Amino acid sequence: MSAVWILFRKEMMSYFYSPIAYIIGVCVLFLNGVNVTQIVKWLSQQPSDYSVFQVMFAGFFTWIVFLIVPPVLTMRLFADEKRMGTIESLMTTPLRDWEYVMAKFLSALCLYMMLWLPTVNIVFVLRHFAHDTAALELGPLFGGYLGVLMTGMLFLSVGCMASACTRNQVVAAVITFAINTAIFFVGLLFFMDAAGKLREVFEYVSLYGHMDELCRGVLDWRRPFFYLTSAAFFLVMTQRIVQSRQWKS
Amino acid sequence: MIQVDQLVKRYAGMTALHGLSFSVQKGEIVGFLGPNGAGKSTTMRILSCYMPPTSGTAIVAGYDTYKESLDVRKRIGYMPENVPLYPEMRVVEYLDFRAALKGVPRSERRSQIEKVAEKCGVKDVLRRIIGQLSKGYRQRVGLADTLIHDPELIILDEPTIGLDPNQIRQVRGLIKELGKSHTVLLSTHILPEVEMTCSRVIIINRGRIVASDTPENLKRLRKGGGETLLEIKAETAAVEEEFKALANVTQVEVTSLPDRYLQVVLHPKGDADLREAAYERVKARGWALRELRRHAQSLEDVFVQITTEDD
Ligand SMILES: Nc1ncnc2c1ncn2[C@@H]1O[C@H](COP(=O)(O)OP(=O)(O)OP(=O)(O)O)[C@@H](O)[C@H]1O
Ligand SMILES: [Mg+2]
Repeated sequence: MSAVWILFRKEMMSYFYSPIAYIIGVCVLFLNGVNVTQIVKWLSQQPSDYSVFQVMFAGFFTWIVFLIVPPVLTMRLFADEKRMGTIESLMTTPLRDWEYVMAKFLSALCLYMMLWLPTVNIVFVLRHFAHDTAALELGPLFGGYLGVLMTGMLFLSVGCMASACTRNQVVAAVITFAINTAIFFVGLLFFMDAAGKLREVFEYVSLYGHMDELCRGVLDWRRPFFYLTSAAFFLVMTQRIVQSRQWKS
Repeated sequence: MIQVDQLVKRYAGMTALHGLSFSVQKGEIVGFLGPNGAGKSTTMRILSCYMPPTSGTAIVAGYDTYKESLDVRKRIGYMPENVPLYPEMRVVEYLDFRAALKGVPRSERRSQIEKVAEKCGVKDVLRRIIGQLSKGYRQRVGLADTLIHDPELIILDEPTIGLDPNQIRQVRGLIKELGKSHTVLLSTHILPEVEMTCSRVIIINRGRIVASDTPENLKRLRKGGGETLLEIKAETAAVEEEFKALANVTQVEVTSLPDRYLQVVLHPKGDADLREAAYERVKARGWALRELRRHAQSLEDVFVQITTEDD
């Protein structure tokens, strides 16, 4: 059995043993509920420029979820091992640094996706009651969930890095929130009529833009590439930080 | 089993180890002694691959702790100071997790957990949540964890701290038992413990080895000692006069006890045993004698002497 799987299982167990998973689950459900009422309002109004999924996956409340959930899920991961000293017993077993990082990251990602599970329900409820399901096509739906997954990967990898930097959970959460918000707002800069190359750069890092396009069912290889490379970057940074105890000072 | 050569560890701003060299043979139980801050935990962390030395090498079970740390880690069981555990897990879950992590195959995990739980006395608390256990029980869980994969080398950082006398005795017994089939390196502040369990003692002070020998040999190291103690009923002046006349006596100390007895301490020349001669004197004078013994050398005296000497 691979070490990643063993540690992953333990991390999932720890999530469900602590109140975090339940509290955050309730919050996400609540925010999604608010979101649904928004969507229903939208559907019952005159034709609008936005699709249902744009509201559902790239609306205001969704972005709150995107920004709030990752710090909460990741803050404990690495910081607590250091605070309690369990890192010492953990890293003296045959566990490689990258396995340690990947297991922690994957457990956060798994719980994060579980938090989104109830929204699948919403989609089917909407499809059931809508007269016209044209606005609820499956393409944009998958696009939306792909966006959810990839945004999560990016924000959670930032969270892992922040958590590895400190032994204080609160500090980790604050750093994560700050970096993620910064990334998000840099991406919004492309609305400020920047021209030429600069605009292209802003567009490339625009999380909002990516999400918006994905929800319209526009798939472009550059989007997954952007998310995957940036998440990989933060995970490699995390691994480096974990490994720094092995530096011969 | 352990081969340490010129180990140096520098922390930011201070050097914790100044070129430590020692070796431990297979099957030995070695006690690591030293005052607070001597560098015991630092050495153990290096040996268990938690961190590398600044310079020097440590070979454990034939592998370099820095370059081949994975091979080393497969073969050792390490219990850190203060025994860190996950408070939210149940004991059995924790042991299962640790066993899996250390590569115990699924089919053997259950029997292995039962075996170490029995050995370490945690059988009754397997279903309990670790955070709710007493300190002593957590210590035992930590000990069970170190043994779970039958490691060749067991490294224990202060295994008996925080245990009650019964448990300390049990752990001592356990360590002795383990020493039959494993190599054990343990650190402790409790000196009688070392005398009882260890086949060899390494004393370090301020990052340097100051002594390394069997407990018996170490005790002989101490300068002086071997005084003879008597309690007799007599006159102080007469006693002093009588014993000063003895051969091989360098000094006589007399103190009166509240119940009209005198306590007499005779300092011998060299290793001389004064008991017989002293008894002859007492008998000749017809004094009442209620105690006669030779002060035994304790490892504690040796420890204090070695680690407080100015270097
Ligand atoms: N992470 C660290 N950063 C800086 N200095 C450290 C660190 N860990 C230990 N030290 C220092 O290194 C020296 C040796 O510490 P170590 O923990 O090895 O001592 P010890 O022999 O285990 O002591 P004790 O009996 O108190 O457990 C001490 O002076 C300590 O202050
Ligand atoms: Mg220590």
